[in-house]
Amino acid sequence: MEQLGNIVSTICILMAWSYLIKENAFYTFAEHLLVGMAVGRGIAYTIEVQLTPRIVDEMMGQGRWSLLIPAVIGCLIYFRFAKGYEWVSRICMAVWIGYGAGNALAFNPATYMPQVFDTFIKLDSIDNIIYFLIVISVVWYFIFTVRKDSGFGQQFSVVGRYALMIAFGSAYGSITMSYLSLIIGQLEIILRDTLHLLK
Amino acid sequence: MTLTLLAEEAPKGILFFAPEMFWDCIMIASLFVLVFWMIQRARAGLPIPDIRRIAGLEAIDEALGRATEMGKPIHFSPGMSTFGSEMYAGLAVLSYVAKMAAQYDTKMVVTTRRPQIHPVAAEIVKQAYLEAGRPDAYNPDDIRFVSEWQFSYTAAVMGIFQREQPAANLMIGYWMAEALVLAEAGAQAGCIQIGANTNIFQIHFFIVTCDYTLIGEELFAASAYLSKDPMLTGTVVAQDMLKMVIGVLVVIGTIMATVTGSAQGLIDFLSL
Repeated sequence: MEQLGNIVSTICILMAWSYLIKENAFYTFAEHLLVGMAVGRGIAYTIEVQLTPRIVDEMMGQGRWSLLIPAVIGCLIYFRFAKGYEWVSRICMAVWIGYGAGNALAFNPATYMPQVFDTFIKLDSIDNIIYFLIVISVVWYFIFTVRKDSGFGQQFSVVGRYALMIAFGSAYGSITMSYLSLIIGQLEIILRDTLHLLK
Repeated sequence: MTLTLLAEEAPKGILFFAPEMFWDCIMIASLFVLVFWMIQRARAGLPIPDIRRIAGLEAIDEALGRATEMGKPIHFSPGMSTFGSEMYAGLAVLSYVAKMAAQYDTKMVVTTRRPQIHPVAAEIVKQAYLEAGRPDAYNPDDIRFVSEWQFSYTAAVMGIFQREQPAANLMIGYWMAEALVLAEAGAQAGCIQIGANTNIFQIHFFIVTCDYTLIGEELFAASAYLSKDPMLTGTVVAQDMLKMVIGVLVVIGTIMATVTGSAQGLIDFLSL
């Protein structure tokens, strides 16, 4: 049974990789399989993780009837399919958007100040001086409404941009290495687990 | 599947006042005051500063023009996040791009990953076509919810790139591990690509694969930059002022730490 699973995994990996040559029927099949599985899993997940514990267990079982409010609001989205009553679904969207904005406003700022405090460092080493200059120049780079066409302002903004690019280059290298490890994992499934060419 | 119970993510209990968030509160309140002040200035016709040139946003018109000349569609995605600052910024750009696409009579394919984003994106595009005076050109089938699974979405959009061969690919929002895969697939399909991302662990993939990239905060200035609306510009000016205050704080804190050996006094004051 395990070997059957490995063979299926290998076939799926090869079908997905066939995209690298060009789009073909094998890739399309793998793509539709993946999307179809996601839909199936999504429905099962919603029933198992949301509907059953919330509606059946908590609301109907334990009598937490307050859950009826978000449940009803969520169901309003299906009014999109009711001709003439599509506007009702906007109530659901309005709640979602309002909740998202409120949540972001209330809980995101708490992360800002500790970051600011962490930049209060002694300029007693080259590392710290570079760190300080990069923080200030990058903040300067992201100020959009001050003219930086020439002079020190422009040059300092360029320093910020270069600092960003160096940081991105470093992250690019490390994350590419982690992606290579993913490819190695796939090759292990094909060469070791399925074809038994590696030990 | 679209039913998400909001109660799940809500904090437990009711917090009327959280002392540790005093300065965060001050910061938000200052931002409100600054935004309000700038909007009032804009409404009164008083001058407010312009936003500096952002190449990635200027390239949107070029990308649309290219798609129109080639008679090919454009692909737009507002990113992988749910409702939040990146998504709102992405949807604001979507509104602009949809209006332009309607004016140019260019087919626009919008793909979304989140089921709750899909109806909002559809409404925005529909409204944009209406405002452009071309409601008949709006095709709801071009606004596609693909899959909530990250890599199912990625695989499906890669397929769309190959089957529909868009001339331009705009990925404006928050992106994760799919950033490189999608941008590479877009490049392989020959798209002119504009990417925007606030995820510092993935943005470099856009920088190496896209023709133009909006880095982090540039995404949030996009709606004001594109619309040239003085009121939206006012909000960017207000945010810039707050950034300058933070920059000054960093300088003061660093000077204190260097001269006196510690900036704990300032930290304690700001941590009231």
